[in-house]
Amino acid sequence: MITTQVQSKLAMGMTVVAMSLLLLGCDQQSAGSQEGLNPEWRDASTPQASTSQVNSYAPTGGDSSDPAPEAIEQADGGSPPATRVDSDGAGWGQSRSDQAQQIARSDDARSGYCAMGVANILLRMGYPVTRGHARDWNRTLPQNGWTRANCNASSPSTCPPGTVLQFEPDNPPSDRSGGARYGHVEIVVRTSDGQTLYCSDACRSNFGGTVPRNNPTAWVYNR
Amino acid sequence: MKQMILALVFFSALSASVAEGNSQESIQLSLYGQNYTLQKPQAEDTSFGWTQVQTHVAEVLPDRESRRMNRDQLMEHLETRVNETGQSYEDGLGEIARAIIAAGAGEGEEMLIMEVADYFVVGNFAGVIQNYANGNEALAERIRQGQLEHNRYLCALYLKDMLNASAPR
Repeated sequence: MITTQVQSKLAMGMTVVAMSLLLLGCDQQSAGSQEGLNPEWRDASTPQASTSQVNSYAPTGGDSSDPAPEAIEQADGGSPPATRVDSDGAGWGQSRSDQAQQIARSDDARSGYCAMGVANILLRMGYPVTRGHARDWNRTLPQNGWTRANCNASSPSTCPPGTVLQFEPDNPPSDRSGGARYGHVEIVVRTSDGQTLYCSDACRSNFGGTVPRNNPTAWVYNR
Repeated sequence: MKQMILALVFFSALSASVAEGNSQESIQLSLYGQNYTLQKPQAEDTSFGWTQVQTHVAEVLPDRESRRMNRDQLMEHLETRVNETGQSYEDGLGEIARAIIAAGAGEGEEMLIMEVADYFVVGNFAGVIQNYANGNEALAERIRQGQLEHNRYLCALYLKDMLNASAPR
């Protein structure tokens, strides 16, 4: 049912290669080898789209109908935000923390897919981010206007809500696990009773996912 | 003759490399009575691909040949399947975590769920078995099943994203 079309000048030769690749895949499977899977396969090739990158590739919820952060804040009954995240102040208001938790509960990013979850949350809230592996976020966040937060990323409960924390993969990178290979990313939020949570594919009370000891960096968006 | 075959294979490999580099590879997929041409995703750092889709699509969309639906209906159906397979995957993680705790091989359900998922993401169910099963074959089998549940979820997500990004044929 599924056929592979490889566009080339030599169709027959390409068929030979395609069949070889298929056979290789079958061998790997029949041998019971591990299927290496990519938690953010869809993002690596996504072209940057300057300021429109907010919605440049958001198949899981960041569509163009998403309201801007200001609209969300108004709709939620919160006070109009002067800035999106103030790294020197209190950061997100409660309505934004609540909204981030609500998105984390309802989107399609499941356990192990932290970068997808964080992108789902931030894109739906109107923040500019580029989808991709957690390990790449230290490169793409500043490209999207994010700046280093004025807080201690190694003690992230000191960071204001709305701060994005990025944890490096293992050094040297390991294929042992997703965190070891891809790193981890999450958002600091506060619950209405003052508890700090870290939201990505879910909101949890511990920070750093499975790699909390790997070098963290904290980022805020304050344009 | 042998030289011709070698030359053919060499040129074929070269052409494949060029095609891959230009991201020109596409897949023709027939689902629910409609044909779709989907662009392959970026190959870099990605090993979940069409081989895995081929393996799991029959489980994710078992009625893809017996029913008919248009593109919009298929997108809606895939959304449902992403939710269903995702929930099954998540439920399985909880079961595995509780089984590990019951076997005295770990503690903290939330942390265990995260750790087991982290292994499944790279297909390393063997790492979970090695770390937590301790010769418990029933638990090892549940872990293997958990990897499959993960793969079905990812397959559904993958199909939905690829279809979303591709124009109907």
